[in-house]
Amino acid sequence: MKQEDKEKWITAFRESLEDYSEPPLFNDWERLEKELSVVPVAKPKRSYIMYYSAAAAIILLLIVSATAIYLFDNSSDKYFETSQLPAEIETITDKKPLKDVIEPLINDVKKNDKSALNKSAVKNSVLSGNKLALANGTSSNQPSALSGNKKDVVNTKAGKDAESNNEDETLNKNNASDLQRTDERKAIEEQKLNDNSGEKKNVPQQGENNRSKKQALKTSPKKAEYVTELWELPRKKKQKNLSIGVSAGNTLSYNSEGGGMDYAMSPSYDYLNCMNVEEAIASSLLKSTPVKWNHKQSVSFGLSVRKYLTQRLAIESGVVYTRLESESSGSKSHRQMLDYIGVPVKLNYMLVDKRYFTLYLSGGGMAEKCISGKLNKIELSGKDISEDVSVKPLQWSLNGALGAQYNITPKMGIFAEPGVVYFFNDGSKVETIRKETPFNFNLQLGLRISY
Amino acid sequence: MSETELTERCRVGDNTARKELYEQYAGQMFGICYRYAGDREIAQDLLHDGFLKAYCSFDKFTYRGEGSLKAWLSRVMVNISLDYLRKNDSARQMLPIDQIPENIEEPREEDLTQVPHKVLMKFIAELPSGYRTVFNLYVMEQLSHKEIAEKLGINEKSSSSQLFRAKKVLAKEINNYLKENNQ
Repeated sequence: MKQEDKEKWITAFRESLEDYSEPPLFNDWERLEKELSVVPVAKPKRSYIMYYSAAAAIILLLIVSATAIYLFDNSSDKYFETSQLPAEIETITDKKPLKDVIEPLINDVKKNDKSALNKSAVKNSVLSGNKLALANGTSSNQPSALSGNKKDVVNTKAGKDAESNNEDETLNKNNASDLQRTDERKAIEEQKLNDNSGEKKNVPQQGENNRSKKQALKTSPKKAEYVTELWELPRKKKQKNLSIGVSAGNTLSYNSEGGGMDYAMSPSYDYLNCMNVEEAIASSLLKSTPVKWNHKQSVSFGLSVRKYLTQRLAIESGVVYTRLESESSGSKSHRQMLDYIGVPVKLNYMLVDKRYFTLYLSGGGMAEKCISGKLNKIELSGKDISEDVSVKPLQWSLNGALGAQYNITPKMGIFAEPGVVYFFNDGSKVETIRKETPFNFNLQLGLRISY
Repeated sequence: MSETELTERCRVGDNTARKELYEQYAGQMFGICYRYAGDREIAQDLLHDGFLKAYCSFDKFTYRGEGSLKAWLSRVMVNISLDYLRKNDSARQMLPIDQIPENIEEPREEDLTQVPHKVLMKFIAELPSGYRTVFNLYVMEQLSHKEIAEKLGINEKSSSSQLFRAKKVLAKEINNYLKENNQ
């Protein structure tokens, strides 16, 4: 049989059945009518439902993320309430306890020449750090750098390399170098202008602060060790707690390793206060002022493309924008904003993959480039200064997250990914939440296209 | 009611028009469902679901002249039927190789006219569902093997071999029928 004939009977078959009609087993209209009346099934309505649910999902996403951010922010605020305590110490009034504090130091001076030089510097710092002491014209006539942010001014004005500055300073203080003194006087003047209000507030606490200071100096071995280390090994101390390396052009906010940070974890309030004195000493010695940054939780926005390797496994890349915002909690107002654009590479494992909802685990790495960095300072004079602090090296990080995605269409969806992230040190001096806590939580929101 | 009026009124959810649509097309659509399902009761359910779906998706339908409404309804029914077959994974059902008739002389074009449509429908219904599905899509809906393979999630070769076997089975049935009725 020819091929044509073969196909002919098939064509005939189709033609004979093309309009085939057979009455259904029963007329179904009534049931259909009922169902149509119960379910508003008209397609336009359905698509509205889809839009509504998409809108609802977006709103929900925003609420959840806003709440998360709020909670994170709140917790960091509390954290800083504790860490700000050091500043209060500056305004100690009771002289007797101060004397007690100084006495052991004076004794030390007699013993060792070199350390004595340093220590007396410290002593003076402590005394002059106490404003009232200065005001009343007590024991120390030598004006010295004051603790806290005021020293920033000293430091910047001196305009010296921080390292050498610190070393020089210990000696210079005792030699009463003119330059130093001038700077310090300036600092004091500015402090006086600045600190009046803080002083009044802190008065009720002062007695307690001094007592605890005394106690801790005498009893706490940790503290004694700290003091020795501080005087004898200023470099080591620097590395540990205060970051140095401020060049002339840079601002002190670079030294933003929050002075109070390490103590914030300290269980005892008294201990905390003691430490503050030391901190003040250390600060004045090193002439490097810690700006206490209040880092806000970073939130990233991204556009991701996901390619499924298998049904459950997918590789993902894209573009992520991140803003890091920090505010100083000192008396000066600093505000640092860094913008990053990053390219992540991640593997995703789908736990749930439905038409409208996807739940997945995600892990991978990201390279980020800082596209802009700004630091706004409001100086004592009220001048608003803005500086460029963008970071040159790439920021590398590893991350892991649990993601939830609402699929607006089968290929496109919005997602929220709460997760953990580890940031490698980028080698720069710019202080960010990533340096302070390299291992951190983050939340990423975005739009994803899958294929 | 004209076809355009019927379309417009169904689109806005007018029940009179919906009823008319049902009454006008239920027979032909039932035929399509039965041709795919191979079972009248299942076909009845598919018909119900198909109409429900059609009523709900009228906004997707654009009237393109006489016959387009029927063509669209038919597509809805075919898709509903395929969904059902896919869910039951019956699109892959086929006969063991040894049950495939060999050396069957294929019927002539004019032979087909001697077989009542209802009987032809019965032959299709009796095919294993894998053969039936491919035969329906290839012969009746005139899809290519590539399209069938995509729709059913099988490969093209499987589609064409199922069609080949379906034809063999049908040819045998038709020959047998003609033999019996011409005696």
